[in-house]
Amino acid sequence: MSGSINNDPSKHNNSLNSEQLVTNSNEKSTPPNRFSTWSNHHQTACKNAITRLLSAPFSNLLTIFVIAIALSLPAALQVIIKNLEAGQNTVNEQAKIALFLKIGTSKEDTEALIQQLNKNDSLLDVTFISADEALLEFQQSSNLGNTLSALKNNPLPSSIIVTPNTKQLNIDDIELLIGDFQELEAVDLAQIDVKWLRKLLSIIDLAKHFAIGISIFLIFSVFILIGNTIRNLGLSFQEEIAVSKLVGATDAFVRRIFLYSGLIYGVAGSILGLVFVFIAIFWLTPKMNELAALYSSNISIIGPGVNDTLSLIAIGMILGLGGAWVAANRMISRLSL
Amino acid sequence: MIALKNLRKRYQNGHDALRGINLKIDQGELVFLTGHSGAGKSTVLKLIALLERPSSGSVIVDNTDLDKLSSKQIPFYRRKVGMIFQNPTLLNDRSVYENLALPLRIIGFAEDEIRSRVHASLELVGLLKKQGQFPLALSGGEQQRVGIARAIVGRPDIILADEPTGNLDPELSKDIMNLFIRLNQVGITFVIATHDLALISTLKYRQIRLLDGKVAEPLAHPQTHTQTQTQTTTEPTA
Repeated sequence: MSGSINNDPSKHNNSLNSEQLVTNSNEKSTPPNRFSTWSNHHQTACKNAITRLLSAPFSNLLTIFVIAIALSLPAALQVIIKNLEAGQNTVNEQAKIALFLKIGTSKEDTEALIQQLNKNDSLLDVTFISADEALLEFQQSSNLGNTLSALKNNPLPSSIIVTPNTKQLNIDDIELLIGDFQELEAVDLAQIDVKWLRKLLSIIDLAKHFAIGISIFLIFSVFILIGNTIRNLGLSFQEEIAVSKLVGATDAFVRRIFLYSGLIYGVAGSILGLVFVFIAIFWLTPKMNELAALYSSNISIIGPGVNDTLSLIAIGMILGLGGAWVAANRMISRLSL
Repeated sequence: MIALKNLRKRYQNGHDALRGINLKIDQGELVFLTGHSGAGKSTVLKLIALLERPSSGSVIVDNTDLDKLSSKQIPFYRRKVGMIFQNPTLLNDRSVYENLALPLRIIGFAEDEIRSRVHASLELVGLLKKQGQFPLALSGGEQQRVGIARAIVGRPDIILADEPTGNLDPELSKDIMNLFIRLNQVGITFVIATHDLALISTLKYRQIRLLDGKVAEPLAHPQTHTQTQTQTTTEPTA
């Protein structure tokens, strides 16, 4: 590449092999097909995103760690809600309605009532307790055996214990059911401790709302965090973006690498978040078992299932992609090339 | 063919960079835009490259009004236009090979094709042996040649060069100019902005002198290798 300038434009050079190889538009090679272009672009973007993340492992790991903490809290709250709901179901299953029959109700009327109750689909179980059985049980449980034996007549009524199907009925339905029972001819009193159940449900409902609120806040934080991380990543690669656009990169091409980066942040953060949740469950289980043993119960912590695990990873993916999309688009529009 | 019609450009600071330019550049032509700093040379190139939008008037390339290109069409237009700057905008964290491969990767070529084209381009600028080096390890002249190689690797129809020899010594400037001429001879249209009149004074290519955002005078050298009639006119004064 040296010598004087060929200053005559009218003279065509007929032996420009290199130039023709590079520039002859008539000999342009077959342009790549759209699918292979698309596939190549994705492979390149994914590879570049991983390379960039690995180029600053500590700071990126820190970011993933923060995302994991932010995602593990909603996941942990979800686990708590799940366990509370399981507890609620246990309580609901134990919710039994006592129908105290009027003194002097005939055996025929009692049997007719039991048959009527057995036909009711909303009841899981119907158990008759005669007045004698009730007295015997009361004597055994109250240590008042001698006193009660002194009574000439059994003061206790016969009763029917019904178990409502709590999968079909909510607390309001149960209250309506109790009202219906109260209307029955043979029933003197229909009773359940609904107030206690209602209080428990209110507490669980409050916990759910609290968990949803916190979850939304934390998920939004992750969205902002990923968006900001991508923005910082973009600032450090602004020159590359500008050069890429100068040589014909589409917005999608430029955006793709950031989307992959966001995706990696989101997925890695959610997986690490799940690990945190499992570690917490593993750590709390012996304590929970000790507590359960004190109450002679076999209640145990229910961890995230397959659906919960996949949901959290999906949320991480969506947040990663969403945050990266917003940040990348802002960067691209600011460059206005 | 490139046509500029009554082209005006006013920047946000109120500076009128172009004040009504009418110009035609034929396909396969090599033209020099000359003029003092601030005359509007770079602005003309930026408008053709769609790095800026005109305040009024139009730029027509191959019968397409660039103002009518949608934002999605612009990247595909840019792939037909190679750009060379006074300071080559190379990516310093990537090798020479990777710098040249970037435009081809964007188009979506397979690695074999990319390798073949990158090697051909580097051979043309005499830097094949430096393909593995990073830009900062190269001299200014070599960096400029890498910039040129990157501009031609995508086989553009047009090359826009903004002061391509501004930072180079006279000998290297001649080499670069020779390279442009050789590439022009195989059909690439060149628009070269330069204020190095000594370098181009002996060349028989059209020179368009800009003065304060207007074309100052008609053709300096009407003979072009395409042998077609070209026009350079100033906007009629009101």
